[in-house]
Amino acid sequence: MKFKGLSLRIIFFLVLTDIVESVVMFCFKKMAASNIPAAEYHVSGLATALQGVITSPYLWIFLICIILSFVIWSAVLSEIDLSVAFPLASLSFIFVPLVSIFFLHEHVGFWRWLGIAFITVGIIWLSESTQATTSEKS
Amino acid sequence: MTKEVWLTLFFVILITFIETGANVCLKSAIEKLNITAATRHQMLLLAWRLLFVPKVWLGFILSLSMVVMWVFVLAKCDLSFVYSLSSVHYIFIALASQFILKEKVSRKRWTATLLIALGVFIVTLSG
Repeated sequence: MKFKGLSLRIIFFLVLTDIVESVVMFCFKKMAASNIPAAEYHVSGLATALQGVITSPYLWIFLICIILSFVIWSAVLSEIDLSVAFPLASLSFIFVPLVSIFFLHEHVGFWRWLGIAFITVGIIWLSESTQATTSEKS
Repeated sequence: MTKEVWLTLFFVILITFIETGANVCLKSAIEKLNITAATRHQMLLLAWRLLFVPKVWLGFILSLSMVVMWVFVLAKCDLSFVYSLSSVHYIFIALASQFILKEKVSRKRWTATLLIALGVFIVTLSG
């Protein structure tokens, strides 16, 4: 059986997928906001909207990011179980508040800390459960 | 107010459910190909081989349409409420992994998943 434990590389990939996927959403939102309303009123508006989408730089960032996230996410799934990879992607819920505390000096309340604590413990247990299945299989 | 909440709940469950299906498609296709993407070359090879599996395209189209739907739901509804509801996604993924993909989801992994889902629920609701 191939290696199924966690490595820093996989964690890096997961964080990267998270970032790339938010860029995908952002780009789609930008394209939708700037071009779709025009298409609602007239048929000729559709052509203009389509032209707007094709020439929009967001479209190209959108497409590149979709391909990128597909390649990275497939690589992650080729090495670890889906039931580990997916919850692990919630690492961003820990990173984002930490970054905002240390660099933006943002205030984080009690509930938020509690949530972060839950996620942290969950991720530690998750990685331990992966190691357990690895040693069973090998 | 109440009607809106139910509608949001319906859309979030629908989107996360279909997203789960898309992930199951991709994962089962990868399992079948049996390539470990350890190097950059292998990563590209894996992605290239996946393009010839119809199931992958199904998953791809599903998840792309869910991105579209997600953006519209986020535009219409309260952001933190939608995000906190989406923590059901973790439970769908765990269920699908265990029963469709036949992964060994131990009791510890289930506890960890539920803990993360709860944590995400709290963080997004309070943020």
